[in-house]
Amino acid sequence: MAGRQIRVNINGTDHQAIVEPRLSLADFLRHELGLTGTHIGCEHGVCGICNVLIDGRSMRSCLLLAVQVDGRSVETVEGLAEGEKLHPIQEAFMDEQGLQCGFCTPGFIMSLKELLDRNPNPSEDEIKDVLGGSICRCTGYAGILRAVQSAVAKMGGGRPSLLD
Amino acid sequence: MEYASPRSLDEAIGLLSQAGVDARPMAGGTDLLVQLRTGARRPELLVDLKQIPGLCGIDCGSQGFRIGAAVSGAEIGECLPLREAWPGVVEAAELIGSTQIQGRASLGGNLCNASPAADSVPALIAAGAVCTLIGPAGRREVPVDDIVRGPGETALGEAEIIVDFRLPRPQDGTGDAYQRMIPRTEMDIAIVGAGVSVRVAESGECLACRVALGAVAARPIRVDEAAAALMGRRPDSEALEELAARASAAADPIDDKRGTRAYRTRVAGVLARRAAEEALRRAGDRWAARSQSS
Amino acid sequence: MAVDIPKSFEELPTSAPRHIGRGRRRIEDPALLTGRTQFIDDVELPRMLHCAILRSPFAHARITGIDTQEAEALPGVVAIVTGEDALRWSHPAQSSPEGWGTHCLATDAVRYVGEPVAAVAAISRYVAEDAMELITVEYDPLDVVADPAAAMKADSPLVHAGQGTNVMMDRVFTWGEVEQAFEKADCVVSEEFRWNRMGANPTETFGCICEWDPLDLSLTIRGSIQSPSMFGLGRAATFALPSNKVNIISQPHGGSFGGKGGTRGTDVTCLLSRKADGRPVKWIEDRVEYLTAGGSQAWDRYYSASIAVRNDGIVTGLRVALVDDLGATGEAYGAICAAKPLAAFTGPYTIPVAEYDLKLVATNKVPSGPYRGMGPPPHFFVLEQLMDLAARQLGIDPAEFRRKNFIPKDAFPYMIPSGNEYDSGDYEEVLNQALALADYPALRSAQAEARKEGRLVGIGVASAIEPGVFDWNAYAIVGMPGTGVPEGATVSIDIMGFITVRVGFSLEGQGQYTLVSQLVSDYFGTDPEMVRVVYLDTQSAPPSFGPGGSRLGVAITGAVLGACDRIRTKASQVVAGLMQTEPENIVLRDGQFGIPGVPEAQMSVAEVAGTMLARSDLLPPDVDPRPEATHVWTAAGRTPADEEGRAKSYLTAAQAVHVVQVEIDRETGFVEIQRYCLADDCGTRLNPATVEGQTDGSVAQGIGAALLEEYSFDSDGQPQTTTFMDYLMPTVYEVPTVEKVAVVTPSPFTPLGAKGCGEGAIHTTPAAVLCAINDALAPLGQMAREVPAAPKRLWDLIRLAEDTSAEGSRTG
Repeated sequence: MAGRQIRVNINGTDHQAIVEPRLSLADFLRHELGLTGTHIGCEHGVCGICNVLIDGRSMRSCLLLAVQVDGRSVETVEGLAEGEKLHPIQEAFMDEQGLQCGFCTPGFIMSLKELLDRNPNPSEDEIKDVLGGSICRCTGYAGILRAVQSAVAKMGGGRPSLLD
Repeated sequence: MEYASPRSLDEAIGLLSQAGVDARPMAGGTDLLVQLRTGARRPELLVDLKQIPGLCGIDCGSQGFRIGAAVSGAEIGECLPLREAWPGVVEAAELIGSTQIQGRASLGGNLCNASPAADSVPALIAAGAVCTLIGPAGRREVPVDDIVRGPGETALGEAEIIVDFRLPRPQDGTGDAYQRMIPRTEMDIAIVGAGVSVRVAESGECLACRVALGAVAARPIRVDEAAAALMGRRPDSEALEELAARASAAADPIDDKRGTRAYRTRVAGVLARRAAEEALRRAGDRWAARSQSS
Repeated sequence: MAVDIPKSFEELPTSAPRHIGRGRRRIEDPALLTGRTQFIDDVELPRMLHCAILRSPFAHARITGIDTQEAEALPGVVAIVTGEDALRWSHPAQSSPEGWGTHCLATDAVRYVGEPVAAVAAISRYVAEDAMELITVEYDPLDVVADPAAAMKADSPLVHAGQGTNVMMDRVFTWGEVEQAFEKADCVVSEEFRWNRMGANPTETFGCICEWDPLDLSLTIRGSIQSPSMFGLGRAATFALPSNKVNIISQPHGGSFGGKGGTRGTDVTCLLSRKADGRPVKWIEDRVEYLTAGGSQAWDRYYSASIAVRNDGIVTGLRVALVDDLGATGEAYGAICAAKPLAAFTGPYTIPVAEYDLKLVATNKVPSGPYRGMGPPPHFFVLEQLMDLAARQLGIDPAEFRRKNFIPKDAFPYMIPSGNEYDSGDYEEVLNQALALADYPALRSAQAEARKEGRLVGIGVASAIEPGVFDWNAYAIVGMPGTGVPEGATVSIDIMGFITVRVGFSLEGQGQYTLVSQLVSDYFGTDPEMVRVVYLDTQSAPPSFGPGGSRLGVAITGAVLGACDRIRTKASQVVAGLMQTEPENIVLRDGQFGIPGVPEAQMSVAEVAGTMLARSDLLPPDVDPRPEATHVWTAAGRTPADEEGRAKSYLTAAQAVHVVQVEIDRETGFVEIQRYCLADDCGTRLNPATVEGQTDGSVAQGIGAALLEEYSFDSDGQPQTTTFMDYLMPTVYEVPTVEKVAVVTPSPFTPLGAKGCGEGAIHTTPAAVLCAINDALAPLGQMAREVPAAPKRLWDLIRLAEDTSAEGSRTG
């Protein structure tokens, strides 16, 4: 099984690696790079726990091969906080108890980041469309929905986006 | 397993021809990578089609639309002219998985995966979509209706791939819609799917109609006898019930944990009727918008 | 030394505003939100190997040969184990009922699809899986029994030939003059119900890293383990090790809900580590393994039940016959789910007598285990449908029917016929609040309008009890021995006045570390930020059971406050010595020890702790110089079960009323939940935001149970639900906004008056949703008797009604 060289920008840092074609992006991030904040829930694309951003779009890292992200940029949950300072979405989840066990949370946060980067004032339908792609078994989604509202408030209000 | 990401169609066809049955083309990979993981498929070579320009992008010309076979559901959803023209096709494409699957999943993949329950296929059939295939023997055009042969089985030849889908510019009075039944709102497999497109005269008379059903046979099916129930008449509730009854009659579904045969059969008619109602409403709205603007 | 644990917030030695009783940001969250929390699959150890488990494709077969040679030859493979290794190094799993456990790897036959047959340890998971495919197993298929009714027949294939029967237990429990009650009844309502297998499915599957020490002959097991101490005792029994030779390190885990499972996989992984000369071996269960053969599957039940009712609407008796399909073995303790209803058999009602005809049956399916609620949720689904049937028959509004039968608030503590004692409650007030929140009369008039249009709109009003703070005696009838479930905590104040609390359970999602920091900071008048909560493994921790049975919030509150009180007693002696007075004169208030009303006779907690640690020479003799104490809390007054299973078991009884409105799509059977209101009373709310979170999550799981979730099998015992595309859990679309109101009746028996509330709403939600569905179907003369109420099932009922009425109009 020949390895293939890939170059990928992860959370702003360029990485080069030689990977087996069958290695999933999730396994590459977790086990080759030690970025274990991306969790794996089902490995068949349903639960959304492994969501990461590829060139700004949220995707399942279990349904991508590492070789497929050659030349692209990947954002994971480890890239959000700046030192001690949490990203506003993370702050919002904390304020509103938008998590319990926290295992699914990175996946939710990454897809919400895509949403709020593109649209600082999403409608309820747009929010549900994004959340509907992930499963949380603990919260019943109520805390997550409150957290999204809170994040919108934190990130909006005419202030320049913290993400630019 | 090896992986290749050719940059041109010729290169892709070359790779696929060389490797034969051991190769598998891949667009978004959202079905294929699951099959790899479960061992349902074990290709020696994966040919990633996402880097080939001919399979990417949506062209909106005066004659109609060309949708690259590897275009993601998300891109389709964001193409406003397409949504305007064929809302049923777009709503079906947007049902291929959740938002995060949408970033990868493609019409070509959804069709070639050849699931009887694929969401986009009945809508494409109803809209009269035609796909362009390219293989070692050259290029050919095949209606979407004729691609899927049975579960996991397609009419594609060895090393042949789908390049794009073509949809006409809708004529005046056209409307289409897709409806599906699933117990869970997202991330579920359709128990029944129904795509309908209609063209009505300003008077309301139905001039053309196509009905297609998913998940009620070994492959998505077009049901012309159901469509005929509306043809030449102003579709009233009686005509719509007739369409429903004929759609149900054409259904030949399996019995499984998602739905019994009786359930699927009856709901196929219900959804065909509901899709037809929505398509007719959209067609009517088109006329209304036209008369308003003139 | 008497330990004084406050029974209310007001008894805490701190003036308001306190931290306890308020929602606040959780101390667990920053690490979780940034991906820094270390879950089991994030742990890497030197020389660690990875395990893949080869599982049976048959539900029942004899193994006639296993060939591992080719797999062993694959580069990167270090060890392979099969049933032979299990026979050599381990014992059959302990089980309930006793004697129904098997070895962790099939030794002679496989008894369910997914049963482990062999396992590989290799340098990577990918290599281990490659090797697994090179193992060949020869099977001789045997007749399968996948249905408990068939399994009980005399000519059924036997899951365990040596048992001579598939019936694991068959007993009738009678509490009071049941026969008389039914004879005297004005009306008897009887029905049959089916609750399909469903279960926990936490977002993280089970995982472990097992390390055998070949010199010390001991095991170290890291894992996503809910109850580390019990888990350790189980492994000690399996491997015949002294219990102090098994150390369990519980990593933070991604939910459990009772269904983490993993004991079998852990045992297999331990065998691999032993065979690999003690190299650590990691096993991370994948989702398909979890769904096929993991710890999630619970409550596979067939019910036949009746209530006896007087014409005035008073229920005078309850009979429940349950056939519970436990699957192939008793190793996963699914049996305790059948026993737990004894803790609240008659629900919130005054039903004076009851009977439980319980049959536990083995079939060729994965062993069933516990799940949130542990068995009462299906029981209450049954009871509440019977209540509605009776109300309908007598022409009484379902809410009023329940009101008539509620245990009155002045009757507590109240002993139910199955022997448990409820601590406190005001059920009528909870009902009133729920009905007011929903504006029940308006819902009913809107329903009447909708019915005129032919729409199938229904309203469900249901009530249930959540037994809280479990005790083993509740499960005596299925062979669980003993009484008493301890929880301990060690509180230490350091020389700078910072406080560390050491506990024996890791993070699971319920925010208990935050609760601990709130309690300690209130007790000693510090900021919660000055409190650190630390997890200890089983060889170091104070006695601990951990989360489960809606107990930990109450139990850890008792443990922490008890430890704080022990420190207070010691510190008071020290301060009394320094101030040359008696310890009784020293009072702790708002972080100061001293003589009340004497401002100059005060010392801060930090000063006292510093003095104790640095100047033992100044302390009175016989005073332990450490500002540290351990307290182990156990529910008081639990009684051993009698012959009929009666015991004071669960310490608290929370109660709830849910009001739900649904509409059923007449043409497709699809259910939309249009309104969801609830009132509940779980006593004092230690952290209201956390309680609310538990309620929201539990409603969602209850909705999944009522409408979506089901493990299905074909007649050959082949599982049909092995991915998340097949096992449907609710997404944000399926869970409505839940409107909530709280009633607070403190428990007289618990620390701060709190009641167990972690399992929560799932006790009531499936019952309430089904009551609503059946209210919608009532005009059609139909009733949903099967859970989940999937569209196909409801559609069948609607069709049946339409066919019947069409027939009626033809003949009429």
